[in-house]
Amino acid sequence: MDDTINNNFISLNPPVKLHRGVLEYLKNMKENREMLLQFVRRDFKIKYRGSILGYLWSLLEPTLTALVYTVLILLIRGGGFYRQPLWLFGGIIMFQFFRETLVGGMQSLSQNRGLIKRIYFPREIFATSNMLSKLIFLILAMFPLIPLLYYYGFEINYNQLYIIPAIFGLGIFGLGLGYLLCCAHTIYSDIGIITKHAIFFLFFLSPILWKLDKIPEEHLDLYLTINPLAVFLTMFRYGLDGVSVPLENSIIIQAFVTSIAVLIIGISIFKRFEGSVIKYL
Amino acid sequence: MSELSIKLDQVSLIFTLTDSGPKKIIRSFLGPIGKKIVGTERTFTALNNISFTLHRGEVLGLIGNNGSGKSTLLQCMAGIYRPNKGTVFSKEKPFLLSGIGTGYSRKLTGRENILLLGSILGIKKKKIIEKIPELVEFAELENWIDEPLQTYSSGMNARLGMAGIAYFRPDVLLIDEVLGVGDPTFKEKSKKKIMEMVEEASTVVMASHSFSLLIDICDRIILLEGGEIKAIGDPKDVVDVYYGRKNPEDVAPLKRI
Repeated sequence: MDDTINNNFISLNPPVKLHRGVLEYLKNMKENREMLLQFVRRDFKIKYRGSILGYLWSLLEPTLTALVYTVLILLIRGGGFYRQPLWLFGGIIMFQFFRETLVGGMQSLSQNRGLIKRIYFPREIFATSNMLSKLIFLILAMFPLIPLLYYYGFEINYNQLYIIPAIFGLGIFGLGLGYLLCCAHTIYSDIGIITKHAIFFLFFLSPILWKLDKIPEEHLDLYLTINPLAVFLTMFRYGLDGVSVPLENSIIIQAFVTSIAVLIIGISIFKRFEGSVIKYL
Repeated sequence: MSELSIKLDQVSLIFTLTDSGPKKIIRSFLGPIGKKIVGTERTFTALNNISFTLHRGEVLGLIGNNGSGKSTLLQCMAGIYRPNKGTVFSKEKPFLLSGIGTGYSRKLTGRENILLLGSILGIKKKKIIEKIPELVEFAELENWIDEPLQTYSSGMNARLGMAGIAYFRPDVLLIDEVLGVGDPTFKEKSKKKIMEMVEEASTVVMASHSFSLLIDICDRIILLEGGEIKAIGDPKDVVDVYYGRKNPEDVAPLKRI
């Protein structure tokens, strides 16, 4: 009888050091692609289950929100801004993608309590699959943009390519913040409440209901540095319109560097503490 | 005896009892200094220095009063809780079957849940789809498999859970008080299925209060008390210890035949 522990044995759920977090994450994502895909399917399927209109809601919901804010702007300012419906709608669906990625990532442990307490598997799958399913919903929500673009005289040019990195950057940023807050939120539910209000605040602090020219010239660089969201939103809106984006490349690169740094820090912290916070679920 | 399957090495698990309010804030923000001011958190030792080994094909029973740490020990063995001290070594990914519901999503249909569960257990999609008809028949859910789980009765839910593990055959199966579910016929069926798995050399750990069943099917039983192993060994002897009819020292280490 051989009772020695050899290499075939794994220590279940071993502690992950801070600097190993990202490597572990990449390894787990690669090994568990099938599982990831199934979770994306799950998130996608249950969102509108039980509603009559189903996926049509992913188009209607942002449209209704945009309508509310259009009325609000007309009431307060007495008039809209340049191509307002188009820009407003674009901003709203992008912000919604960001918010849902962040909140879904933050709540990924508490929302999946049932499954987590049943079997061990890499729990970082939840936040990432949530982001991917929200990406699908964002693409669905972009369809109402087509008639709007048509109405304003649509012109296809290479500026539209800016949309892709804008979505990408926003997803990375939201996912990073989600991972960053997840463990803290699992222990202290206060974090969730604070975050909800912070996001609401951020909505008004980002160029969604207004345009970037509201920010005084001399403060613009500082503003764009501390709010990468503004960079991605601006890229998306101008890109959509086929107009060249009025941002310097250095600012755009900076926003990406910030987002990727947030994601790396977020994943590292998540992997470091995730094993110990399960006890609080 | 066959090869080693699971080894627990001095596993301890401590829960922190969360108290809210100022004390918590001071502790969170001031670290060690804060702990000196308001005292450390109240803790609860759920498992204390647990060590044992399990071999492939062995069936282990867990008994003990409520709150003695049976479920927590199973959750530690499944890798769900990370021990504060000590390590759990395992060759395979254990699966924990506990209570009703089985971690399924209420809004997904039975079929979708099975696909999800299979993918978590690392089974190829093609193989899962092949298994589904057989599985549905076992769970007696022919008319319900494409309905969302929220429409299921609790018995149907438990049957689907049982069917999931019976057909995906995790190599290490941890069972927490589930044989009590379902109607008597299904109970008989799941017992048969578990016996089948046992014979096919899966390792099974089972927490239960039905001692007669455990004496029947287990090779060894562990008696837990206050998060510690009070006795381990021959099923009958350990149950005797539980009732105070025997001293823990007199338990035979292996099943008497």
